[in-house]
Amino acid sequence: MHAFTQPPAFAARSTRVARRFPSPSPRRAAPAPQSPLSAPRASSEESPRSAPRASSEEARRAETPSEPRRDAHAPRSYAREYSVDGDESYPLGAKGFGRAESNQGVRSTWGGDDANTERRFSFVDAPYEQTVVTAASTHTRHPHVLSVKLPRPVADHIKFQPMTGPPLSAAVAELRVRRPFGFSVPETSFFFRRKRKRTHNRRCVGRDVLARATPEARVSRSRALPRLHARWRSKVNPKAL
Amino acid sequence: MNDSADFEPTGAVVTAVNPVFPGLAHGLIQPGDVLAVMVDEWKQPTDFFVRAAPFSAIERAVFERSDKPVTLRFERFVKNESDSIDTREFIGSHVGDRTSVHHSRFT
Repeated sequence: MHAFTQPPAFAARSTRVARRFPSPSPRRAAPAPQSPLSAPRASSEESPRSAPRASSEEARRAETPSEPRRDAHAPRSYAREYSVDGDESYPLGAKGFGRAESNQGVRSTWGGDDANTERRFSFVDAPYEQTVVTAASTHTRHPHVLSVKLPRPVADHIKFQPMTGPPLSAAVAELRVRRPFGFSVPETSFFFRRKRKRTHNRRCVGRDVLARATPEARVSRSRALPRLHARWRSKVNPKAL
Repeated sequence: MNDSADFEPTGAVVTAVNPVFPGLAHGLIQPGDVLAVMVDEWKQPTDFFVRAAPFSAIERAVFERSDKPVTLRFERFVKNESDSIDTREFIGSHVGDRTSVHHSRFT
């Protein structure tokens, strides 16, 4: 245990993660040319107009990982996570972070073999790896989760309340039942009275006369009148019939 | 899920925590914590998910008497991260972040 908590001797040279693990990715080793001026001369001699485009494509190819992301199944927060070291840190999904694509031409800075070129988790770098993913930052996106083991009954320790009230459907149903009794009768009466007046006044006006005077129209109107309303009208205003 | 959930209040929130014995949850649980899961290892099925469960069922489980302990899992939603929980202190069962990082040996 003590050996793991003590930083290894070679780590004393630099504490930065990026220096301890030089990235084998081509992007970090030799960044792709950004401008046509820095593009290789051969391509610019062939077609000077398409030179900047070719270089940008090269750059994009260098940026794009050849294989699908390793952390595709990891929760999103981990894919977005950055280390605490600032600009020298790796995003966990970055190309240089995981296992090296190939060990060809990669020399370990640590001397000896290439074993540690692959950035896997190991006991040696465990204390440093822990600093790469900040523990607290995960909690900003998720709720804290607390687990307690308690003897029963739980009611001795904690009192609960329902989180949601009863759903609104009951209240809505009640309103539905109430509505016709509350409003329909006076509304209907008002409606019918106005209609009557209108027809009476407009007897001589335009095509309305034709439409209302037709016997079919009268029949349909009387059919559309519910029996209930007819009875009510006769009670309230017997002359209206 | 269950039919009665349509007509009943659901879920459970902590209203109060008993500060004196036999209450044991006082320093840990706060009013406002949302009960997510109850785990009774001596029962089948083991997990009782209470989010959408009707409150009457939750109450029944809460008042149940037995000599076996039960594990309650709560969710606590906080606005300010720093003032609620000291992250370095191990409180809950939030598993380490390394667990879900691919290619790690501890996965």
